Amino acid sequence: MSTVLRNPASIPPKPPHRLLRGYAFDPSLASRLDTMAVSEILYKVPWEDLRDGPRGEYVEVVDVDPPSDRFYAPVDLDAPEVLAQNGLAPSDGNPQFHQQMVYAVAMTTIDRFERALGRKAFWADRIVTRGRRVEYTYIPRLRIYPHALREANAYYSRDKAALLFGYFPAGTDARSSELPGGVVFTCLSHDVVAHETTHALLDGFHEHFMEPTNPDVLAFHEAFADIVALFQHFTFPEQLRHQIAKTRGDLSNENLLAQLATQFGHASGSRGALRDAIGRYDDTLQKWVKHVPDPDELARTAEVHDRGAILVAAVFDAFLSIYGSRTRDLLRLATGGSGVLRPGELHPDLVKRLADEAAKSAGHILNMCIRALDYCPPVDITFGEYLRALITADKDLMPEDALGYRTAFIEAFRRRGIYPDNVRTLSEDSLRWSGPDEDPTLDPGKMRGLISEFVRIVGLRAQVDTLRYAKSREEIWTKSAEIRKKIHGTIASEIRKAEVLQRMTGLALAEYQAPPGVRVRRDGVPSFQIHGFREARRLREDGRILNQVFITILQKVTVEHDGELHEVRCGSSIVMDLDDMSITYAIRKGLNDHPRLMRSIEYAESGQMAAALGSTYFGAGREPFAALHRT
Amino acid sequence: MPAKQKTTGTTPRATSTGKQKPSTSPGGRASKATPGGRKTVKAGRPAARKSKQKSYTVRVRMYRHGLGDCHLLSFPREGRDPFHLLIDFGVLNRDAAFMRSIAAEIEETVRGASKKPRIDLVAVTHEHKDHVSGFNQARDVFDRIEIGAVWMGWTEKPGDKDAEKLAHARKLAATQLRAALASPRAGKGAAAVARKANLTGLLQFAAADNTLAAGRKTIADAMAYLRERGRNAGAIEYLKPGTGPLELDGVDGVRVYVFGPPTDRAAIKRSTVTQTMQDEGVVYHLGRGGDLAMAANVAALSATDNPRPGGGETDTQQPFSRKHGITRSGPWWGSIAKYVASTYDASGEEWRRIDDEWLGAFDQLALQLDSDTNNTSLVLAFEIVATGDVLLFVGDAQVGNWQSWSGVEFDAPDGKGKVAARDLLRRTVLYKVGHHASHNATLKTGGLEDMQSGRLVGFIPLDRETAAAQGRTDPSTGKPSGWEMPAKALYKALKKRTGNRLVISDVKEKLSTEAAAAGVRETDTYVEIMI
Repeated sequence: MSTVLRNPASIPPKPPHRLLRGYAFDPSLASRLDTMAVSEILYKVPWEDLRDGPRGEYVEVVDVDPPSDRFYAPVDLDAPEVLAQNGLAPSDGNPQFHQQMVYAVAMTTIDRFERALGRKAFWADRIVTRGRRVEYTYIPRLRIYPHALREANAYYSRDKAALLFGYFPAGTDARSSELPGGVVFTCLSHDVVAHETTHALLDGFHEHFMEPTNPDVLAFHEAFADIVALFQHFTFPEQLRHQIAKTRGDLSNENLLAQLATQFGHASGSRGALRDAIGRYDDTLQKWVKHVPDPDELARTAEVHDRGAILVAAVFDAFLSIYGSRTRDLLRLATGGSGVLRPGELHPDLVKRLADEAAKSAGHILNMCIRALDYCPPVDITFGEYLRALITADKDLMPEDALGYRTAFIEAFRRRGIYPDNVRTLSEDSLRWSGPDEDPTLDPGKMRGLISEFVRIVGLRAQVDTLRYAKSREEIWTKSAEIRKKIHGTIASEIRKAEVLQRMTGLALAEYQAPPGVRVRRDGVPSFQIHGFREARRLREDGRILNQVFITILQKVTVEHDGELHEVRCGSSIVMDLDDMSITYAIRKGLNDHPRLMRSIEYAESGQMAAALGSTYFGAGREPFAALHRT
Repeated sequence: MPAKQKTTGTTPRATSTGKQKPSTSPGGRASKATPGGRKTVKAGRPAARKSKQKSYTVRVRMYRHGLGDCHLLSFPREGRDPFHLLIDFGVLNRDAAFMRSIAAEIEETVRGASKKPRIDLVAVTHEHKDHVSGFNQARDVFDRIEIGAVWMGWTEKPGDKDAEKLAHARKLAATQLRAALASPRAGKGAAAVARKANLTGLLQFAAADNTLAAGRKTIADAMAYLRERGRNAGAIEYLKPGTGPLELDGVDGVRVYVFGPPTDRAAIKRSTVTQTMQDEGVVYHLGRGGDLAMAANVAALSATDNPRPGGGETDTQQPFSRKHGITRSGPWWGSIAKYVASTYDASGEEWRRIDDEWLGAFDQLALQLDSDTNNTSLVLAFEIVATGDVLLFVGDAQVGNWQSWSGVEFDAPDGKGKVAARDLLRRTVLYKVGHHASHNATLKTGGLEDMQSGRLVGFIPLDRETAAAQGRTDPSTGKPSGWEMPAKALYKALKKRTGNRLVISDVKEKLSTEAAAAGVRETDTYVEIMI
């Protein structure tokens, strides 16, 4: 480094992005003539300072290969030779490129997630229990091991705060497009990397979505990871145009965009991709067939991935309707009003316009799906509740819904038998989470007063500001821990406010009022946890800024079932409007929902989550996703 | 001895002890050869038996010898010694002396009027230690006992192409697992040690196990011994589903039906991924990687740190060409030492290391090996013709085996129509619970829920203490995780379905009043019921 001062005007500004070459889907596209031209893509990841590895703000790639007992040298993405040509050229034989690829895809996914939420993403805390004390440690970087296993598997490990990717020899099926016995790397598949990164992001968001308290919870984890991976395909401009041209604009026909992990699927012996949102390869018919939605399918399906696939299909279906309605006018324009395309290829201009619409619709859908996470209950999620979260979140931001997005979602979910419990109709209004009712025991307006007083005591507005101006993720993490502590203290000491919140959340918060089964501290305050504190400032379609705070409260209750005691986690997500100083929604999984508590216990007892004998011999898995992905 | 069975009349050879009389089995019909003199030896006893004979068709004894199966079914016969049928004799973690005492007890029970101990039929459900170890441990006792015939599942038949394929795959998997256990590469940290202990625990069921004291005999030896005894008696049967109804020699009014093991390999292999893999005859799949991925893992186990001078690498499964790999002792270590020190080796971050994660693949293989062998269980149903009652002995059959029964049918004994296995299942009054009441070894729909009898009694061969001492040891507490036997949900369902007439063989277990009321009696050595 030179010590000579430089004129600031001569220093180039930091670039907004770093361009990195990579495989668009996975290496298999490069070996097929029809897709060869679109097998590569330039990933555009936010610029950040990197050390070799690459190691940045969010992830660190560590390339150790224990089954081979080898390390591979870390790539230096800042090396001029690398920078000058947008990263290393795609190559499956070069470990440094593998590192670049996982980095590029993971960062793209994180960036997508952050943009939807409008705030920083965090990894799940490391939780260490020492006696009765539980310690939470901040994890700055997710570790990525691109070559960790020798099997057709890849998983997110919370225990190690890491993604582990495997490599394996392709099956010996000569009919598959893979070289029999050739090595397939899961870390070179955009879909696999995006999927696993999303698992990690979701776990950092909702820590308890890995606890299978009903058949939907883990399925939701899988489905959500697939949804993110799938809709990221639509950010690949060339691939999108290529597939639109190939399907002549009808994305409900077999296409790469709706498929996940093509190479992985072929290499592990199936004729099609690992997963497909709209169809599947039929072994008996020997061809791809479209999947017909069946409202009874969900009830019949127990396996986690199969169940998740139903949710993915529903979301993709909503996308297809939206894309359809957004492009109907284009097709009419292009066909002289008939809307019926003539045989032959589409005009490249039409392809481009259709692709733009597809990309836009996909972007909206993905935003909706990610933002809905703020509106999910903190524990025991079901698909139906996710639908309610989707509708509510979208309604807050887009009160009008001129393009019928929400209707498309409701219809697509209904076609697949996904209904929430306890709603009267499937209308938008009944699906939307309800706000807290006026408390009959209080004078009119009193509740509102108590809530705004609560906001004032906690100093919520000022606190949120400190979060917004925090410089680093670590600072935000520390600050929100302090805020959570403060909220907890306020609830514990202000009995009147606690009583109001208690009625809204269905939890026991006020001192000396805990029902049996809830642990009470020595000072009479029930034991509960302010688990999450998040803020969001989002632009509504009418130009107003929505200034929100999301607080999640958790509590455990011990209940008896068939003569045995069981601990069940309850919780509530509170959505607050900070401008209005009011609580908009209280999404509850309360203590008094007895049927739910019983369902959770019975589900846990039925051992449906157990993979065959695994649970008999090994007990509950240490790595839930490892076993899930192995089956 | 099955009267209707075609038995290939091999010349009887004397067993090693030479105690078998040549006269007992001329031409294979061993049980018919009961010497007439036997009845005359003691006049008093047959009479006593006779009075009992009226009261029941079969007496079922479940021995209380630990975590393992041993059931003795005795069918009284008019004017003859009862027909004794032994289903399995094995255990985990019990010494030979103890098992010999149980065997001696059985020997006394099956001692006929002629004072000669005789088991008319030995049925072996499957090749697992907890079902056959006793035939090694108490070999000398069994040598003294005359065995009339031996039944095994078709999967145990030497020379059967499909059976051999299965056996080969099992052997390969077991070999791979043993390689994993033996490799120094698979055992560095505490976690690896725990994993190994767990694998050993699972492998102890397996065929070629020779780690535990059974006179250094393997489980395969026990099977071979029984095959030989069967051959010597001139009566060994390898049974396929749909065989039956069979009759037991001299026993009136009892028919035996064979439900499993399924002949469809897919039913044995529940984890089969695709049709292609089935077509290729691949039996063990790991994840979705198949046999090749497993081979890659095994290659890794035997790999040496450095390429041999002048030769190639032993590990042919390296993902990259050799120039890319850097080892800690290799020449280029210096180039990455700093990077590794600040990431993988960083102090305080040891918990993020993944040295042993790849060995998780072996856990999965061990599980598959175990459950596949369980699925080769010989499943027998005994129908008491007069009442229509059925006794169901399923070995350790798992889901695939159970599911296959829905397609099993038998020719009706009157020659008209068919008898469906499901129909027999419905009439079950005694169910020997599969696999020590673990999860997945009793099918709910199409299984337990179909057993409609209001008198249903369940027998669970299980020793809770032994089961609890198994599993992965938690490195922090040093305590084993235990095997979930009985599986809670299943246990509850069983209790409900049997109306609490559920009996666990564990000696510490108290007999429920409902079971006692149903006629179950207990001693320290066995639990029994007369039906």
